[in-house]
Amino acid sequence: MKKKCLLLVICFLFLVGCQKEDTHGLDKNNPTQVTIWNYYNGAQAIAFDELVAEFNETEGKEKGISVLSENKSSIDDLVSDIQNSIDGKVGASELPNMFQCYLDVAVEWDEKDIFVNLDDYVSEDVKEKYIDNYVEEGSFGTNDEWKLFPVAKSTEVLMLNKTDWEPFAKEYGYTEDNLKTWEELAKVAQDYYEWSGGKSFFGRDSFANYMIVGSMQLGTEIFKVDEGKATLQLDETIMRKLWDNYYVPYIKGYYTQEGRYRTDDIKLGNVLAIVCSSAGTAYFPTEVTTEEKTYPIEAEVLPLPNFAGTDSYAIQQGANIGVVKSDETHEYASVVFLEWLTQTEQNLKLAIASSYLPVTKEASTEKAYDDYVEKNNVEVDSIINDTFHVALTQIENSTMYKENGFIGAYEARNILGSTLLELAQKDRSDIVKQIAKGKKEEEVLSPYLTDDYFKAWYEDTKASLSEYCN
Amino acid sequence: VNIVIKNLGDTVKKKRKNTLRNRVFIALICIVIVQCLVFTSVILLTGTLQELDESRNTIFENTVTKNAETLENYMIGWSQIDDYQSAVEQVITKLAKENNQEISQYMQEEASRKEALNQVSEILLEHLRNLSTTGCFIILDDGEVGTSKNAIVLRDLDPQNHSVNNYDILVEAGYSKWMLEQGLTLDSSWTEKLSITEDSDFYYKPFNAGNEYTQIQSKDLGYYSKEIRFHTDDIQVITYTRPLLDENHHSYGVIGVEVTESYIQYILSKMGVGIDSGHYYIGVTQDGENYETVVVRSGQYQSLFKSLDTVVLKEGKRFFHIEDTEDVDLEMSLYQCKLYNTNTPFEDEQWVIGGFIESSVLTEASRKLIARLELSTLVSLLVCVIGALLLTHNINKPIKILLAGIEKNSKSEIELPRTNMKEFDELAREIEKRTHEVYRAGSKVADIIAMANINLGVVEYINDSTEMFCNKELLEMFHLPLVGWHDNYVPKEKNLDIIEGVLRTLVKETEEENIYWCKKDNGEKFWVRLEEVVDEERRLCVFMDVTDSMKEKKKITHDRDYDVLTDIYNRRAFARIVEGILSSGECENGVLTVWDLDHLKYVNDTYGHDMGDKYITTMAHILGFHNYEYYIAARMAGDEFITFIYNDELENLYQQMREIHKKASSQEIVLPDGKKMVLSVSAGMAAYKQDATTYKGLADCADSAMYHSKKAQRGNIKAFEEN
Repeated sequence: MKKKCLLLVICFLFLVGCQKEDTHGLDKNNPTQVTIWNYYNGAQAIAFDELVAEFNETEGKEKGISVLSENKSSIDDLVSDIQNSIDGKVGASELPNMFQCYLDVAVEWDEKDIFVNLDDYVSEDVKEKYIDNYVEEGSFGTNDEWKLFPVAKSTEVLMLNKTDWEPFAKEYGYTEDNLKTWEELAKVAQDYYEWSGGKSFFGRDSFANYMIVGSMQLGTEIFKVDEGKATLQLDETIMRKLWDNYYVPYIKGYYTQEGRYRTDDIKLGNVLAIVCSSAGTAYFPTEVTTEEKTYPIEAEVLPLPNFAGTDSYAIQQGANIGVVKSDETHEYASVVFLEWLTQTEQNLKLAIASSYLPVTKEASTEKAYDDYVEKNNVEVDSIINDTFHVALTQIENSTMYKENGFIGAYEARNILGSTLLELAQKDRSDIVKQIAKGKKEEEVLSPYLTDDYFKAWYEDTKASLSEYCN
Repeated sequence: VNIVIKNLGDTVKKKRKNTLRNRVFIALICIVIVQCLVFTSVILLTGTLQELDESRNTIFENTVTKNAETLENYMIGWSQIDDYQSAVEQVITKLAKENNQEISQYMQEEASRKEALNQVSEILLEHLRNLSTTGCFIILDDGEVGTSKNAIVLRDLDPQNHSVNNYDILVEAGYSKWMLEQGLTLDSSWTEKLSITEDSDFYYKPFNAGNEYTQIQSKDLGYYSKEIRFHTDDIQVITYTRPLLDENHHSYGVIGVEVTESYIQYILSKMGVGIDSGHYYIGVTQDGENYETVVVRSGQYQSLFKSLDTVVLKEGKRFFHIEDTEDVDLEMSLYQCKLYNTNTPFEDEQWVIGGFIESSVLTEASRKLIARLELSTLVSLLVCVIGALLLTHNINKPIKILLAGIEKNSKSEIELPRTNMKEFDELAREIEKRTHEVYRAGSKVADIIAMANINLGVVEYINDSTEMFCNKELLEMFHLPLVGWHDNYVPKEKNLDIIEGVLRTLVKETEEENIYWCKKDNGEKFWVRLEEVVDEERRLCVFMDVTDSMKEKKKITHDRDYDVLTDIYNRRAFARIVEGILSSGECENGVLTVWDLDHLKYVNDTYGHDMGDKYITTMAHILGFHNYEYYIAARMAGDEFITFIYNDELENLYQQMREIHKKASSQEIVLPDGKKMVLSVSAGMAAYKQDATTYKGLADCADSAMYHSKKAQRGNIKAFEEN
């Protein structure tokens, strides 16, 4: 009798145990709500919201998870909201269960121990499905724990307003091959400036990438990170080369930057070619609106230019998603959602709608992409289609540079992204004013082109950066 | 004789017996069932379940109403654009004035419209920061219907946060250099002009109302649109628009704000429905039954509503029932918003905010209670069953121990195991004491029997016992080779067949009740009397040796019926037997013969009485030993004998008699003087039925025949003849 009782109790405990093991406290009839903060907008926001709704109605309904997506207008808004929540500022919202996050800030927030170690919930088999580089990028901290979940990634590509490019290229005998190196690009830009009577040819987003990838490609990694600590390696010769290939063409008017994003500059006819995130190509317009007229254009997607004589390099970027520590049920629910979101079908849906790149090995192939398009009978925008293929080829043929997080990375990156560019913008504005006053162009330019002027900028920048790394 | 000692109780039908376990078990189960019934009926009959449902309904209703009021306040807040509108109107009025034109005139030129938009873009940005909507816009009319119109549409997806560098502001339509300088971003679907079609209610409804209702101010001509998209691949928004009116109360455009669907969903997501996560619905109706969906906030039913052109709400008992939902029953608590003033053009468009939930959730608490009641009843029953089993097991255990002890010890003085339970141990002691007494009483009886030298054998068979009582006298009486006899008890199993086998050899004594005989090893007969006591439980057989009295009885009978000298029947016994034969009717023919020895007197006188006796016994021997079944002989007296033979043809019977006579007549006896003397006997025969039918008649006839024969010549036999 006693043995029977004991057996019953053991069976009962076993059953209860099994159930708990399986669901982590999820209850189909009482859904667990998890929030995710994102900064998608436009087509990306629509695609993402559709996927969230799909999850809620299928997998989420099945498992008792309801995902609530909150949209922050920009990455800066998102970062400041998270920061306020972490700091416990008056009126700050509670931290969401998941948020989009870049490595540079994540490393800092990780100090507050807010991220879930994804290995606690993701099995090795599932982890194996993700592209190793992306998982590595999201693994940091003392034990190199996996903290950031890759959802959609991107790299940089060169986009061209083909309609306006063709008459000019034809006259000068240029082809798209002349846009493969930064040196040649500067030359083409100069010719275009002259041909068009003073119009800029080129602009780029994420200027810091130019500095970071450029320096790496030319032999030195600016922020060398070892065990979470960064060493500054600002090589003067390399900086000079970067300077000569951007600052110089910029103050001469070959390059410019007017709108918030370079796609805005394409829309308004300010430039012909831009370097932007592969995820930003969805913003590339189908028509150009100038003060005088609006006309349709065709676009061409090209690989990112390199410096002459170097190996091909490109940035690996795109926000990941961090899961915030809360309780087992919410943490597990969040991971279930992220795993679902990155299944081939969903991942490609998001990729195609937003021109992001998928994150799993299976989805990151031309075949998977073509199969998906064919199976779902998707009408893919030609720019997005081209971007996907160009970006995949680029990833295959280039060394992908991924950032290493360190404390102060966000600020250091902001300095790299602004010192040279803002100086160029300010100087160009002064130069234009002086020329307008009737001064000769060469005369006006000469003080900006001296070694000393470069040296001053170099020292200044070095000083600013050394606040964040040695 | 077949004497079966074992169980006679088999034939007694056994009654179904109540066990202790059943009694305790049933009683306990009954108590629990009654308790559960009482408990359940208190809950069911006192309306607790209804109250539970009612309170959930009330919570649901109140929460939805409260939240709907909050959202209504939001919406009313969004439509407070007076300052923003007047600031824009002032700029435009000023511009027209600077150009010495009326507004209507000024707006005819596209360049003027662009200029106006340029001028007001700063006001738009400033007000966007203050309005708490996700966007604001101005659209200026070009006098054409269904064309793209000059407009500025600014959007801030997250109106709760402001970015100092304006990086969070998207431009959906319109362009000015100033905007780019401010850091605004052109959205992916940006166009310079905004495409307005004839169906664009958000534009034309307030625009036309401005022209139509000349007595009503612009702020009362505001219109809330259902969801729209500014561009085909743009996100969904709802808008609030008012006409921009010139001096003559003619519309020259609209001014408005937009709120994105996802922002409304975000607000709704913060609102529960009190009892569960629940879902929210915003719709517009004109007839109070068919609703056009504006926004749905629901994790599960988003696409369900998307698939319905119009949602049909049927008023139920307390809530509205949502029709056309295939698999689920959805109940909606509906709140009617008051967005428009009375007597304004759009007051017919009734906006509603509803919280909805699966019907099952409303009754969840009561259903759970019922389920828990069921569970607790089940658990109680289970516990009770286990408890009852344990209890009865515990009570039965000592009883079983005692029983086992008793069975083991049944032959003699018993010693019972102790159960460590006071009551049972007392019982055991008492049983031991009583058993001892009973045993002693049994032994005493056996001793008394032995001492009294009464040959009394006793065997007792008791059901369910492994032993039989069997006293020493019984053993000696029948020379029973019993195995394991000890102290008047033998093991039943080994000895039952032996006892029954021996007893089976007993023969019933005729004409005696309960008396049996059998032969001892030396061939000597002995008699026993068997007395039995039988009941359900046992069978007691008492055997008493009655050989002596039976022998005595047999001797008395013999002396009465037999002649002392010749040891054949005497006259009286003969008469009784023959009368018996005749009266039984089993006799057809018979011959009664009277014999008379001749010369007895001579022998007596000459050779003495001993010789005379020998002369008589020789004759008796011949008559007594005739070998025929239906024949008897007797000595009448002195020298007279009588025989009766029957059951054959009369002639044959005569013939047999004659042969006996012949045999007797040839018998010689040796006299003391050595001489031999032949027997001489005279006989007269009388035939049954022919001569007489009674014994006496026959005897008289035979006597007469004998007389006549003797008279004629001694030593003859003669049948009776009449006359």
